[in-house]
Amino acid sequence: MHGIARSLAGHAGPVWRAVATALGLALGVGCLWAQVRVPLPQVLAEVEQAIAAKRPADAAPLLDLVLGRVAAGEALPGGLTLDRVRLATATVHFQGADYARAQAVAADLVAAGGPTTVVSEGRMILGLALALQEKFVDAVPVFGALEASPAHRDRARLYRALAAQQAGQVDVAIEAYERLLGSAPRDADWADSALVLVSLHLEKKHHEQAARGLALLQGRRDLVDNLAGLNTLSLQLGDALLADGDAEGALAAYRQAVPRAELQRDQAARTLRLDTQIARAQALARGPVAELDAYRRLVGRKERAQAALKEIDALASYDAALYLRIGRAFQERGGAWEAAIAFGEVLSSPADAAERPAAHAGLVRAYADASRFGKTREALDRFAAESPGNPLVVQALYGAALAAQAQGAQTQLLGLLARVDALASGSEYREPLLVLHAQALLAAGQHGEARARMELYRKDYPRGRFEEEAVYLHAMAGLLLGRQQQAVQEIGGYLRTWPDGRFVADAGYRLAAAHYAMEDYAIAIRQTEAWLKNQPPDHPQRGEVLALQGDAWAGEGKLDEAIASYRGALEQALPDDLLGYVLDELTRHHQARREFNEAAAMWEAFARERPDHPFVINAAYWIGRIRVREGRLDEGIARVAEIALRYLGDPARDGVERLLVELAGMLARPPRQSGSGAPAEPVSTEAITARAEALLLPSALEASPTARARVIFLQAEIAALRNATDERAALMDRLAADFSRNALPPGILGRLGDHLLAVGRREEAQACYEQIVATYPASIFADFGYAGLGEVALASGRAQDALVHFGDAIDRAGARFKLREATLGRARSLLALDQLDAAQAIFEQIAANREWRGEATAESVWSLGEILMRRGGRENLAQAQAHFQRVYLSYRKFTPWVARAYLRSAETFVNLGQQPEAMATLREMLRDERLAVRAEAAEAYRRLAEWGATSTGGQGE
Amino acid sequence: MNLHRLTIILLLLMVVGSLGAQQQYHLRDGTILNADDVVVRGVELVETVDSDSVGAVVERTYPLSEAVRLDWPEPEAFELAREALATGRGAEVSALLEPVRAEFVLFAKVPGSWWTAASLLRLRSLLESGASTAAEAAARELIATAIDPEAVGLARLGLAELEVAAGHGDIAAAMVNAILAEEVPAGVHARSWLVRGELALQRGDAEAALEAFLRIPVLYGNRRELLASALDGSRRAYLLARDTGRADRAAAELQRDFPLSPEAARLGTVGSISLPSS
Repeated sequence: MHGIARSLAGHAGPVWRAVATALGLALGVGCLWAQVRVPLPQVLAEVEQAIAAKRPADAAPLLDLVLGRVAAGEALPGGLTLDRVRLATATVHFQGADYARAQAVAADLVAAGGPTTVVSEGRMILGLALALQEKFVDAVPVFGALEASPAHRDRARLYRALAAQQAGQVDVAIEAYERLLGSAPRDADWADSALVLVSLHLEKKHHEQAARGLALLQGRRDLVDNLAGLNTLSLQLGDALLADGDAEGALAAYRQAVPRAELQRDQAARTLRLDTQIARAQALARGPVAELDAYRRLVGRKERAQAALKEIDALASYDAALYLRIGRAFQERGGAWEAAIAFGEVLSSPADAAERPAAHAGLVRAYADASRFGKTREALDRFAAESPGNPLVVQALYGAALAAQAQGAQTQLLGLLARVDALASGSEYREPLLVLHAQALLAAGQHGEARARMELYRKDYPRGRFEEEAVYLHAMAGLLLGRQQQAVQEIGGYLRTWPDGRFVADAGYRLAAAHYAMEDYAIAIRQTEAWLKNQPPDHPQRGEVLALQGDAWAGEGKLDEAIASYRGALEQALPDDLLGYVLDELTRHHQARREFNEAAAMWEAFARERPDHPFVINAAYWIGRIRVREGRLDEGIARVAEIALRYLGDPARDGVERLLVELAGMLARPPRQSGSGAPAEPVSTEAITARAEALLLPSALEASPTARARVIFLQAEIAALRNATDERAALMDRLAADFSRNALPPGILGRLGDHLLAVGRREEAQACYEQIVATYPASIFADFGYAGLGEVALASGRAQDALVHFGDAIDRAGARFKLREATLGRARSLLALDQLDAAQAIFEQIAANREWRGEATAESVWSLGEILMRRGGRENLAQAQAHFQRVYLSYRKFTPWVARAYLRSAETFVNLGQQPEAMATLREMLRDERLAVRAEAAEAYRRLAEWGATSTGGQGE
Repeated sequence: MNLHRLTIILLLLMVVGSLGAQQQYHLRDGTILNADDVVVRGVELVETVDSDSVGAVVERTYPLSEAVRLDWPEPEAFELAREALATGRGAEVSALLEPVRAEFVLFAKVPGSWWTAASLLRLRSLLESGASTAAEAAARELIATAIDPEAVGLARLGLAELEVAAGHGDIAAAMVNAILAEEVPAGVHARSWLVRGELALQRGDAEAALEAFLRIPVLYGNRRELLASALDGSRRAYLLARDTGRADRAAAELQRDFPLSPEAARLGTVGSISLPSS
């Protein structure tokens, strides 16, 4: 427009300026116009003056007058065209806010055509005049046509977008913004437009485009003045995506929003920057600053920024709401640890923040999902304390319980459900929670408690939603309590009440099982037959029922029928534990009937038909054993080797080591007598190990470090069986020296770790154990890793770490091989941590365990004495003395403990004021030659010398 | 968008003009000097004013100490340096940024100078490449020179990181605690969680490590430059906690979102976990 005014002045300039000057006074008198027909050049000169003086309201009637006289036939001065006069007229009307007149003149100009630049200017005025009269629908096509003008393209796109948006033409607006953003320079206006486009995409649920737009803006955050707007859009998009189930996308959106302090800081910095820019614009200004575009734009931006800051300040719990969203998104995405951090952050908000209850509930769930059940309980208790009676508390308890149940964390589940009575009173969740509690108690073997819970349920909810479950669980708990007769009646009652109920099939099976338990084998057989007849052939419990039927037939002593039922069970899909049971039962019955070949053939068929099943290792084990029993040793060795070979190169097949141990036993067996009765020639260890190598290292496997390591392991086992201790140690050292830990399977890593630890190579041992727990946490040998790490930690003085590791060996790995070591390790760790009561309880268990009788017993008895001694007091000391004496009297085989026990016994006597007895004890100790080389002997001499009694029984007393 | 806005835009149309990115010195007395019009000579800014009647050049000089702010767009070298750092080419960073540091070193304490940002980026590259001696010198230079509290805090954290790398966890922990005992900017807090995570890993405390590393994606998710380290730290912490499922997921996320990062590159070579040292 400025250009238009200038161009008008330019055209009129030299000629009309002189006229205007001459008539200056007259032009100032409006009334003269009515009476005097002033020449057009003179009028135009006045127009020029008015425009130059920025008085468009004065110029407008003059130009209307000019247009009227031209329309009446008067000619314009030379050099001036009608289109330019129309443009000037439209411009000044626009400037004077007479948009209707501006529209009319501009429309005439556009309709009449003319030079492109002039028409384009006319279109701009027309479009804007329409928009300012809120005729947005009409303005849209005008700006659309204006896009063809390179000089006005970006502005036209912006105004078309704005007008379309106002006209409710969202699609048009989106298209216009997209075109604008594709071509416009990246500046603050661009950022503003991008924000609007994102909001439109959100309005139209174009989430992908909105996310792209926000990501683009995030990359050019420096251009965005309205940071609060950007934040709000990010939150809106995140909410929309989360509602759509796109948690990942929601997180990406939420991450673009920043917390309030950061937002305030950024916004303040933005304002400061604007102030600087405004100052610079002022410095550069040549004319009145207020009219400079740069100044106006900057001031406008600053105003918007300040408004944004105010908006942010008004949101009291802005951060809490942000983190609550982030927490939910992480929770939906499966990021339980992250969700806990986010919810925890919400809980740092003021106590009256509305988001706190939801955050508490989220935190409980997040901890449960992350298996952090200690924290789950703490969070739940905090929530209950802060918001007693809040229904979300019980809901959180229910959610956490479901999470624990889904993870099979039975102990933790019970810990949570112990709160049901305290927290769930009157809640709708109490009903399912009671059922859940009963299920958990049943699974934990607390059958009486489970039964009591269901009795409570039936009392409180006689027609409850879970009545059927309650009745059935009640009966099952009775059955598991061993009340078979009662269970039979209760299950019968269930079947009568719910003949088509959810548990009918299971009830039939349990009835048969109850009769089997009562040794009513005939009834059990009849009931299993009825079950097999009545239930569909693909029922998942069919295998279980057939196995029970096999048991019942076996109970009746009818092994043919039992074997037939077990074989039938094998044809069904069985869970691994039941499959193992059925295979073992069949093996047992076949062996009892001396049907060795049938048993071996069964396992051979299994290994052939299910080559990848983990029980193939069991198959090899049994085939080897049975063939040896049949006297077919070589055939057994060949079959076991053949199966072992399949997996020899795969370190993840941890059962191979069990086979190798079996194979070592077979290979190391002394040869049978020859037919003549003469003793067989003994076979050298070298010959056996060569045979092992030949069996297990065909050329194809020579390149496999795992296979080679396994052959060495086999040779080490053979050496151990032949009591060749040094040779075994040398082979284990070879495993340590020649093989990467990555190549070694967990079974070898565990034994290698133990070997290295025993010879004092602690760090190398630790690496073996770490490799097990990091790479094979689910291996049957995982307890080697955990227990080994416990030993290393304990030896390094880190008793607390050791306690965790030993606990993991038992709780995580199931301690298949290292239960004694792990149990002893826990007790030792507790003793080292001075937790005497806990240590005592475990040492007592160990000392009482007949299966572990041996060195573990000696150590436990000694440790129990040690605990009593630490407690002090005459009575404890007397009891401690009894323990130490028991060690050196009853466990003389275990010299390290005997030596320690003598020393402690002497100390105890001293503490009891019985120094002569103490000295006698030490003398007795020194008479035992086995102890002479031990450090305790030197200590005994030192003490005797200290007490003034250098002569000992062993040395001439 | 409303009529008020349309009116403003209309007014904007009336005058053409925009201000391009400029390089300027702002002096204490309000004078603004375009960088193109002056040269730095010794401790002065020298502006050529005109030639006198006999053709001799007339110069006006300003002490450098009069400069109170620089208004300079970010040098292009930064983008390249950031990319190099993010893609494991940290060795290139120093070469890219030395010219920037040299250009701005005389204005190191002047707001708007790019010396501090360049020095920080260089420090990060030295820390990540394990050049501990050079990193320590760079950190100390920043602490002595920079005026931006965030830069000083990050440099102090850099020294703590060096102690972590040297296995001196107790010293590093004390340093981090000392830094955080003061009021520090959010950027320092954010990075301190990475250091605290590493310290927890060294102690074998998986839970504390996870609590530290995962604060980055949760509370500082918009600080992309920290996310790869945080993801990798959480992966190692999950392994320590024997949660291989979540460790694998963190590894997959690292490879998906930061495939060129040094952390992702190292994934292939990780064979075992770090457990409590004996």
